[in-house]
Amino acid sequence: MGEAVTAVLAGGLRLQRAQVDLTAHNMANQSTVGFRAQRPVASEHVYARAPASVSVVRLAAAMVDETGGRQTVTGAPLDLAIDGEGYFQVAGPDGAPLLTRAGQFERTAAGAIVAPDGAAVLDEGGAPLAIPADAASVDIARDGTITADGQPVGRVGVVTTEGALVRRVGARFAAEGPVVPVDAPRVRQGVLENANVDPIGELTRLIEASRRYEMLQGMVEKEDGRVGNLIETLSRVR
Amino acid sequence: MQALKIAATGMSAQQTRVDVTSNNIANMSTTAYDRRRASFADLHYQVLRAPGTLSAQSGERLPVGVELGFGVGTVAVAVDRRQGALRATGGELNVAVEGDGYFEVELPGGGTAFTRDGAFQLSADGVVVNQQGFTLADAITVPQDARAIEISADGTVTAVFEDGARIEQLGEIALARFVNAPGLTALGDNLFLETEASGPALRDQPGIDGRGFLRQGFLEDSSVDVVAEITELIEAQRGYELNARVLAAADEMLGATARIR
Repeated sequence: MGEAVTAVLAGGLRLQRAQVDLTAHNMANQSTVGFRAQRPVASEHVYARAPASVSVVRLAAAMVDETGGRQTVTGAPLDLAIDGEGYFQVAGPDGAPLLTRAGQFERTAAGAIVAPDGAAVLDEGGAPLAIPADAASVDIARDGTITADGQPVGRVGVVTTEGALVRRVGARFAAEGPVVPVDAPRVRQGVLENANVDPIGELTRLIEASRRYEMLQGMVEKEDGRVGNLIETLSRVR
Repeated sequence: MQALKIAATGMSAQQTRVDVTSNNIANMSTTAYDRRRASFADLHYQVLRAPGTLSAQSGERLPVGVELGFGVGTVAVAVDRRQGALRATGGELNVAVEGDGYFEVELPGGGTAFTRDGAFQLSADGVVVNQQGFTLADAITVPQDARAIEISADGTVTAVFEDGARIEQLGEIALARFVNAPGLTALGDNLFLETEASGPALRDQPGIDGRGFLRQGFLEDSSVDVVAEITELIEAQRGYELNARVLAAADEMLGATARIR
């Protein structure tokens, strides 16, 4: 029986550590444009059925928190934010498009619209967007249409997916399922979406996790004492 | 347990933010200074269980996976190119650009640099130079007997002699434009160099393609908004404290782990 108790406690300790790791990552990214916080999901895992049913807890998933982050007005022409649902599309390292809420874009010397790390920003169809090099003014309408010096030159793709989202570097996601354009996207020019990290909530979860950890650690010590007593008592029996 | 390292990346990001903000505040009175802004991105993820894989228990596809992130890194400190307010100085060689153009000056070691700081002066031989004494690339020399210098909005420089009786055109000031002006690299002294990222300098007459017209007798103020910078500073400071709190909690937990017998 003692073996099961140790396994249950170890599972609990491991979960609290994972919770702190996730909180640390969320907190570290509180100033990352377009970052979406992670939420741990714990699940019960059956450890033994006989003689008694014992289950341990483990981290089943790290959910993507889909709530919108606070928006900041920057005034830069290629800083974009999406109101409501949808993601921008940028080219991934292997060519497959990645989804992101981070709309901080720049123009290259050739006129292409890119993310700060140089990844091309794509339109709805997945083609890279560019602005003519001699264009002096760039306007982006609510539906994402880009106008350079009064001439429409393309439309920023705003897409969504029903499938799972796999995290990638740069507040990006790879979509596991098909990607579909959002019907009526609402793009804002000159605005950036901040990380949707809620520092107070994170701090609360952090304190909860450390206290639970201490409690579990206390239980590990008690169990150790109990097993020690048992061994001592049994060894005295002749 | 990665929390210690993750919190450290968070603290270092907030520190970068404080550094950038303090540089902006320090330059609140620098002619034609554009505020800088640090931008961050999350670091790579350790995928413990990928979303979309088949569950061992039910055989269904997992809708979400377990990915543990490793914190944050700085990706760019971008220049926020914005027009500053124009301040009247009355100096006849003070020229502000009302648009996206840059003046070109010749560097003493060869090559040219670009600046929006239009506080020009005359050298001993009457050549128009900037504050550091670097010659304006358009090479304008003002004769010693000129009474006044007029610089028109489109860049034409004329000298007026003897109570306006004689007028002579001395040259034209062109402005350089860049496809990606934030890609310029800062040299200090309000000077910038062109790079692969900014693209080559496109020189033309002021006023063409958004280069902006020249305004004689004005200088461009720094575009730093002090209130916004102070807000940024407070946010960064709080962010630093929160990350430090995570560091302390992770430390406590590791301590507790060490105490387990």
